[in-house]
Amino acid sequence: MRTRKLHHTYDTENDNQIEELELEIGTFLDEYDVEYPTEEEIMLTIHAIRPHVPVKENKWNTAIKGMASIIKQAYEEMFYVSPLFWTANGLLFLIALTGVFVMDGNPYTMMMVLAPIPTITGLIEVLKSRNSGMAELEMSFKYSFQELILSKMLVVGGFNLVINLLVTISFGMLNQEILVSKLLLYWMTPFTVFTALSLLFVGRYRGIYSITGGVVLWLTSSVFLSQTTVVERIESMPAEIYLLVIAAAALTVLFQAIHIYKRGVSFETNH
Amino acid sequence: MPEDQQLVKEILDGSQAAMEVLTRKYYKAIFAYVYRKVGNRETAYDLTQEIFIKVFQRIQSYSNKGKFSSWLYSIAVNHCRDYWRSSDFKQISKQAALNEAFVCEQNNVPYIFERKEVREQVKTAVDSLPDFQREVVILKYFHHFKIKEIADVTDSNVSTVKSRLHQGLGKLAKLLKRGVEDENQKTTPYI
Repeated sequence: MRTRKLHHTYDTENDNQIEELELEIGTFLDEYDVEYPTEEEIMLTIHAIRPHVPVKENKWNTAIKGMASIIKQAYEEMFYVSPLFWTANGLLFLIALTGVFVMDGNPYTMMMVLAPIPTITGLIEVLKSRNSGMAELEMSFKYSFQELILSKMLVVGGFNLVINLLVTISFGMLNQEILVSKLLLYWMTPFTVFTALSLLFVGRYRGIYSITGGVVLWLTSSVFLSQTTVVERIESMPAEIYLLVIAAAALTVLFQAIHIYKRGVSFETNH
Repeated sequence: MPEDQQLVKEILDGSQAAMEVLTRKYYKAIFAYVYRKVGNRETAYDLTQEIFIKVFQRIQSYSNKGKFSSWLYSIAVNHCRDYWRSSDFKQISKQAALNEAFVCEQNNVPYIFERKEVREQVKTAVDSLPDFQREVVILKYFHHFKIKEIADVTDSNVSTVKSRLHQGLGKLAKLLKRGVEDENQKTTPYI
């Protein structure tokens, strides 16, 4: 308490002395004026600063450029996808048709079970490229690993979309009793969910674990879907829930794709 | 006039006009600080330009939390300190010392009293202060900063600033009063 009081006294004393000194020499200090630069000199400084003003990138232009680059790369990737992928997924189309029309299976369950297959087989395509020359492309710094993955996922996703639409149209055309809107919901839900999960996987793991994870998940879901009670429960769910799941999965796909793309850019600049 | 924060926002959006407004707003104040700190017009002009370039290069790191002027002054203070330690300063000060010695030798009387100008006396007295004392005296007296603001800008604490200010002003008072006495002695006719 006493120390504090002493300190306070010293402080006030010091402040007073500073004030007195300022008053004492203030008239002298006021004489110290400044020879300011001329208007031309100030303008020269302003011109020298100009290149250092941050340039704001147009986000839309950057996004469009990025998208265009990925689509172009995806088009090129189509020619590198192994024929086995196309054949296996073509067979899926036939299996679905046979299952419904020959074996009289439930078309909705069939769609739900088969919808994620192209994505899972696509994952094999995406990840195997690590051992087949994609590393060289990556090393060339023209495309980052993430950009290549994204363009391959675009090929796989696009193909999945086409094949599922084909199956839906075929079901709709061959069987008038099938509700196309219901069918769309039934394949779009597993398709978007599996695509979102695949993107989450490939963004984090570069290995075979993603495929194993995808296959395990698909098998588990299939086992569940083969049980009548589960199918009944799924069928009794309102369409809004399906739409909600689709929206959530689609958003995850979008954010994950942006994340992978951005990480790709920073990967290039930081390595 | 738009607020500094608003101008910073526009600069971050790439506005050259906002940069010009902000530069003009603070140019003279920063120049005055640097000029009184280094005591040379040409060097002050170059350093002021470098300070503003640094400010716009780092504008993204300005967090908008504190006053923009404080952030700007802290860059100016540090830039002048860096200059003080640099080889450029050592070279220029050596040259200045040589020139001064030459003038003194020629006239055989101290330069500041020869000129008979109070401004020059003050300038020489301020220049003779140690670096840390000079910067607090300039900020307090010429830029009307509060003690706390000086402490923030110079990255020190309030008691250190007070101590430096007290010592600096004390030295200035002695130097300036002695200068006046010398002047009076010289002007008083011998009886």
